[in-house]
Amino acid sequence: MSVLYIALPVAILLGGVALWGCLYCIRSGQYDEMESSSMRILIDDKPVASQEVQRESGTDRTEDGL
Amino acid sequence: MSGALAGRESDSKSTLQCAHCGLQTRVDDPAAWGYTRGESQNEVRGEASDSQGMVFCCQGCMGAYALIHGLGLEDFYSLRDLTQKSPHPVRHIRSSEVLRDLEAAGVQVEAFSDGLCRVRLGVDGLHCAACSWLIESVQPSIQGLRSARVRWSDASVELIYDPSKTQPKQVADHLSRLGYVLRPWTPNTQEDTEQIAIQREHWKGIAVAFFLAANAMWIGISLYAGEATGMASSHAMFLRWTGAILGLLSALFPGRIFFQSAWQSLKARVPHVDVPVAIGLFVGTIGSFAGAALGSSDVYFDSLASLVLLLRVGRYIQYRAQYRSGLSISKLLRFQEMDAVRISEDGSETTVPAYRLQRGDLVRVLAGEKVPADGVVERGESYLQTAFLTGESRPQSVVVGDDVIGGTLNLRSPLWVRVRATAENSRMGQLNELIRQASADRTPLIQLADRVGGVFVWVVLAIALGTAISWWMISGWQIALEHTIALLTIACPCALALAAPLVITVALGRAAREGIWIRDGNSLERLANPGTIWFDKTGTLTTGDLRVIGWQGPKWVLPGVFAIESQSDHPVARALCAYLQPLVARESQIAVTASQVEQIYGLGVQGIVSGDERTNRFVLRGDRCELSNASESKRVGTDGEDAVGEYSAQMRVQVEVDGEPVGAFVLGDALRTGVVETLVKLQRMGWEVGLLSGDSVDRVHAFAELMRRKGVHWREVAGGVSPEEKLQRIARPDARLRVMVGDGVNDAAALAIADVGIAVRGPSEISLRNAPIYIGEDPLGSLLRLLDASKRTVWGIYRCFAASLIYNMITISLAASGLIHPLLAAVFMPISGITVLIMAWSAKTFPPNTKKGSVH
Repeated sequence: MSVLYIALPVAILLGGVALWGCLYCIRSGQYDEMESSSMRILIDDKPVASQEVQRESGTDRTEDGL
Repeated sequence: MSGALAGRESDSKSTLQCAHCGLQTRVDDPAAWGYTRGESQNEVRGEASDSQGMVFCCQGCMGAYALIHGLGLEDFYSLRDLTQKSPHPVRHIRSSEVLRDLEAAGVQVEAFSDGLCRVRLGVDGLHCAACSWLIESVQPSIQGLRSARVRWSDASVELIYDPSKTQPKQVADHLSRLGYVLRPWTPNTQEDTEQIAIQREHWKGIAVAFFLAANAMWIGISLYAGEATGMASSHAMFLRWTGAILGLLSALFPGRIFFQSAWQSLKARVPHVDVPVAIGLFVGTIGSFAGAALGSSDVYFDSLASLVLLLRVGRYIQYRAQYRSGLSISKLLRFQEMDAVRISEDGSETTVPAYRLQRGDLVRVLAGEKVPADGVVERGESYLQTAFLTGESRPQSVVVGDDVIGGTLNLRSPLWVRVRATAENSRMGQLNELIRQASADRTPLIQLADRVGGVFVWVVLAIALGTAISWWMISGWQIALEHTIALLTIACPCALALAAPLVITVALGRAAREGIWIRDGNSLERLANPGTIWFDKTGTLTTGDLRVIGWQGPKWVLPGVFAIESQSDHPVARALCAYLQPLVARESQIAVTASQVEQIYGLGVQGIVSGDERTNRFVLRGDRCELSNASESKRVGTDGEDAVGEYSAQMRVQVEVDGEPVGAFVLGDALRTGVVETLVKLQRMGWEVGLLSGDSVDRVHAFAELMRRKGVHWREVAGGVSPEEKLQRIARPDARLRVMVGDGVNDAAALAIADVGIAVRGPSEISLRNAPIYIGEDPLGSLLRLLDASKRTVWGIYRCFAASLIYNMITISLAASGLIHPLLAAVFMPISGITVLIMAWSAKTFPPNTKKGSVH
């Protein structure tokens, strides 16, 4: 059971990484606006011609990355 | 246009829900009238007539419905129903003219190397998640628009577009049909940024607390399991120390705010629920280290960490409940929402946002538009509607050389105004400053939870101290520590701390469904104790906009008047149309048409009316109705109430046919339905009522007398009061609660300083939606329901408190006598929390409104 001495810190460390990820998301403003994001996910994207254009232009230029 | 009218249930007086926004709309509502105009929506109206009585409350909703169906985006309606109803979208669609010249409007355009441009614009009329989805979904249908992303937090949209194919103005035109208005965007105010920062702090605290609590709990479980099945003491020791460190971190980082606020409250000598919380956390931390050091089988760190988590979540709920009260009333008046047509030296015209105007600029204000800034009239003469700013209900006449105030509505003919003051130095700017100060000066009331909690805190501390000392004397410090921790854990007032914010949050949600938006949860709590309600008159007790209150003349003229006026967007025309719509038979609405309709400067409107048999030249002359002319409206008296007619007559519109005067309309400011009943009922409920109006003294007293005759006892009636005087009157110290109910800019300062400020939806477009309480529909009926709900809410809180206190009394006495193990205490603690949660949800704060259909 001595593996506990390694496993426990590793587990907490892994959890810590996830926590860091969460804090990073909060800091970058992804949780600032919960309302429309939560609704957006319910709606399927419809295939539209201009999406091809977007793919060509390549980069997503929106600031907040929502 | 006339074909459209055939499709409407024009003679039914019933109320229907707007097919787009769901607002209860009377068919004869002046704003509802807006949708019969405009050529592009004809096909929808045809469709509407098929689906029995579909009605739209305004042109914006109408256009939105057409566009949404045209684009195949019907999902919007199902999506909208997922979210709660929100205030009605913008009533009058502003033109997007201001976006034609982006440079003059001060909009920054960022150009990319590949030729695309990015611009950020503000969006008006954004009020639910479905709105932002809708705006974004329109993107593919606009050629050259690459991306549209709505940012909800500051109501802005970012457009990426190809300038060779489209311009922001085109996008704005498209969106305006949906009822959204794009305007030049001003960056976040400091306040918004602060709110976002606070919210992020809450989220971070909860995330860390959750992480620590979850890990501490697993370690706790392995310890309990180890105890049952046997475990090497070195392993147990390791787990215990790890757990203790997690608990310590939890108290140090996410739990820090409780120590801080406890320290604050001790310094201020105001007992606060955070004091026992902080002591509990402190003792818990010591306990978990003592347990680790002594190798005792009792663990506290898991309950410590989960306690911090629960408390942080509770704090967050409380913050959300009060969130928008932080968006203070000082943001009520926004100059940037107005546009101005600037005339340069060479006579060319540019539309710019009002806040970009400079001293010395010349602007043109058409009839039906608002004066964009303070200035002096250089050309033209007209009447201005200043009600929202001064409370003066009668239009004021202005001629060359007169001062005009920004924000007032030009009623009759075009004016050329030389700007004299920029936005900050204007009358509106001064009022803004006044409101800002009033908000800062407002005395905070101690919250109910803090009052009760304060007493609770000292009692618990005294018992804890007694327990610790007596057990120490009986059986040593270890036992004493154990029992004291158990007591403090079980007596944790978190149920007490959670009860009030929970009950209030639930009530706020229910209120919003009733059309009452409460920003500040404390306001709801305060309204439970009757005091004095001060009412504004114009726009609050009266409708505040022009309505026809009588017609004197032959009936055959009416279809002609209707045909002419339905081609105008002037406020008087709207009022006339709203009045005539149910009176003029559907057949004659189609048969009678008007041509060559033109505004006559300073006079009114004229046109040629062609009916079945004859063609006549109609002239409609508008004139102010002096108080002495009021007898005329008495004779007209279609409202049945002579006194009411006499009180409210303000304007006359004389009708001439082929040069012969044939009749006259009397327009005025009608009383809201149920004014007397509401005031009398308020008095029966123990409230005193007062009247503070900026309208002329005579008019205010006439109104007060009219009410008095019907059994209303005024505490005080004041007419002709300026916004500053209103503020002073409300600010006078009063032992009882001071409530202000108003709708206009002139009330805003008073709303800010009152203990509870209630804004109602008035005729002015200036939004008071950020007031502590905003009532969207049926102001007087909603006010009564609000007061009732407030009482119920406070009772709900008391019930939760009572349950929590009884529970605490039992458990504390058990703990003090040493009968409860700390572990058991940790299990019991969340149970009390859950009980409170259930009680809070089940409190009947807003009973279903049974009268709803009939109120309007």
